[in-house]
Amino acid sequence: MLELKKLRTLFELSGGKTVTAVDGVSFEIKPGEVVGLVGESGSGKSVTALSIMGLLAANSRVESGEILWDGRNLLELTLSELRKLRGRDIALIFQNPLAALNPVFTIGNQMVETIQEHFSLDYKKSKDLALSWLKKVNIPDPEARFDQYPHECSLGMCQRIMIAITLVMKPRLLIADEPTASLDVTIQAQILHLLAELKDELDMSVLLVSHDMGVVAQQCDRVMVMYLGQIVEEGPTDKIFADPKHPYTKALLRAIPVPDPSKKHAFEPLAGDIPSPLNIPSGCSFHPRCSEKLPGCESQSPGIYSVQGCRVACHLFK
Amino acid sequence: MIFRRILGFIPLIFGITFISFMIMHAAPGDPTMMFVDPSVQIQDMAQVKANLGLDKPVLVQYFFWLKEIGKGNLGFSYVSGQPVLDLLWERLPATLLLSVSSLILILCFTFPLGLLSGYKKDSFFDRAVTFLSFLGMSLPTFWLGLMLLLLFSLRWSLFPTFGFIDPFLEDASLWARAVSVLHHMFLPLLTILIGGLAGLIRFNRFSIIEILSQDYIQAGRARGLSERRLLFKHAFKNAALPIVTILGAGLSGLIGGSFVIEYIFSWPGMGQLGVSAVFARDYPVLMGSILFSSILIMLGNFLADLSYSKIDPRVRIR
Ligand SMILES: Nc1ncnc2c1ncn2[C@@H]1O[C@H](COP(=O)(O)OP(=O)(O)O)[C@@H](O)[C@H]1O
Ligand SMILES: [Mg+2]
Repeated sequence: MLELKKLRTLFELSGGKTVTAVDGVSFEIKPGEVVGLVGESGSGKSVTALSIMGLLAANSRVESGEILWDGRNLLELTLSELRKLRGRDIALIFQNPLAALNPVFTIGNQMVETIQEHFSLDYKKSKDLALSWLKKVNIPDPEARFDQYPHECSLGMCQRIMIAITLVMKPRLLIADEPTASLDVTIQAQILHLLAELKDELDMSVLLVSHDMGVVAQQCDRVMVMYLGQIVEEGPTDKIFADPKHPYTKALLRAIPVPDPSKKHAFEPLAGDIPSPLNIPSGCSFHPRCSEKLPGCESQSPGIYSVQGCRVACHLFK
Repeated sequence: MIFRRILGFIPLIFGITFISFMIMHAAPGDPTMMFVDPSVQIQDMAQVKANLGLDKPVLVQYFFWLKEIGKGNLGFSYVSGQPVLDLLWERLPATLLLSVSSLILILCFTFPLGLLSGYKKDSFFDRAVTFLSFLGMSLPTFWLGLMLLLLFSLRWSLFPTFGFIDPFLEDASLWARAVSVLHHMFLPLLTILIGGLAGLIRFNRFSIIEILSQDYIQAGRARGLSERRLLFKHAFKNAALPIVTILGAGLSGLIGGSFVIEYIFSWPGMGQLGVSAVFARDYPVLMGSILFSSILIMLGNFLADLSYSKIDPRVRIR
């Protein structure tokens, strides 16, 4: 359904410098799959998502690679072709739901305009559809919410509304960029639960972007671990969590706080800082922070190796 | 609530009139300067001053003026002897016509030009608008007005040099009179527009650029909304907020500026009346026009606040 081939996305900074935010990323998402994309902040997850949507900032562009949607390369579409696809086939929800809603229009107004952009429905029918979706995402008293403004709703409520606005078009792929990162833990769980439910109901695929390994472990069939613009490990969720291969994945897992002291590993925050993207280390870009470094790591970038059903980019598995 | 706001204007109006009164009396000269007849004796002049109450301390004069205002009496012109209130009423329509039409035209030009040049940042169109705005901002209004008068009215006789309507059209059709008013109004209006538009377009351009980088615009694109809708609906309404604020705050400048312009083009409004009264030391007329224009400015500010709260649901007038 969606396939990325060697995607490279650059930022042009003032002074002629360029930063490679996504560096040769390839992956595939199949119908009905929930795939997680994890990594520390700054690793290029959001830029990957925006590249797929064709929503990169003005100082940023896809340098090379392909983004295939049902075999069509999205990078070759015109803006109007892309617009028909956005929302309708591939949808995106954001980290901060309050900022993603226009503060000066009512929730109903923004829902109806979205519905009418994609379907030829009159106002009455669009409103009914909008209300039924507000109900579906468990908004109490949808009629009243319909006429309210975003600032009158809580963050969790806003995220539900965003989900309703987005899923009303029944997209085939939902990209959720840190959909719960701005919410309280209890609300987080509710939203994730809602997403999982709606995913089954609509039979859509989900690309769940998160920096939180715990969220990904609960929700995803498959996990991709990203570091400095590259995917360093990819595989089925249970395998990645039971037996991580890449030292970065291991470090990420060790960094999950575990409240239970009888658990076998202790909480251990990731050592070292993420390097500046302007100055990416040579060879394997993780080597300065790696605890299992080999002599060749500083000079040679690793190939991608298949190990027990996972793909790992690490010299340890040569 | 609205009533409270209007009550709040009263102390402000006291302040403005008090300060103007003091400045007026501190300025050299007095109404008796107008008596140029050499046969007038010094004692007679003193007698005139006493009759007018000008021999009393300034504070006493101010309170006397206030007391009469309370009774609805704005005094009589030293020059023509007519009641000030009548003079002002007579002049009010011309002033309102000029300032309201310039306000409307400023809004009609600011938005399309500012929106498009912000949207097409750094395009040829944007550069052209930027160049013209800087030109407009750097021309002093009074100089521009004089130049336009000199060229279009005096040299090429394309426009009348003074007045509001052709006096011979008293009995003509409504249409003919309207055309005549427009003809008279063209140059003063153009002068106000050039001065008022330039800065506002620049400002609108910057707010559009800022707004277009907001999440809700990005989210709208991700939902497949058209660029036209995002620009002319979503960005427009958000960009209208600061413009309304600026216009509200800049209203005094607009009215103050139009005083000078009314004088240059002999436009028979309150501004021209006020400026002439300054030269004639016609204190009652001057104070009357200051009082009227400060009331106008405050009403304008009040309307700006009202429309602000209409546009932005997060703001409610207290
Ligand atoms: N607006 C920008 N200007 C310049 N560089 C940017 C910009 N946005 C992102 N980047 C670069 O892209 C990298 C990845 O960012 P992002 O995809 O937002 O990370 P995350 O994984 O936290 O979502 C950043 O480290 C930064 O170098
Ligand atoms: Mg991100």
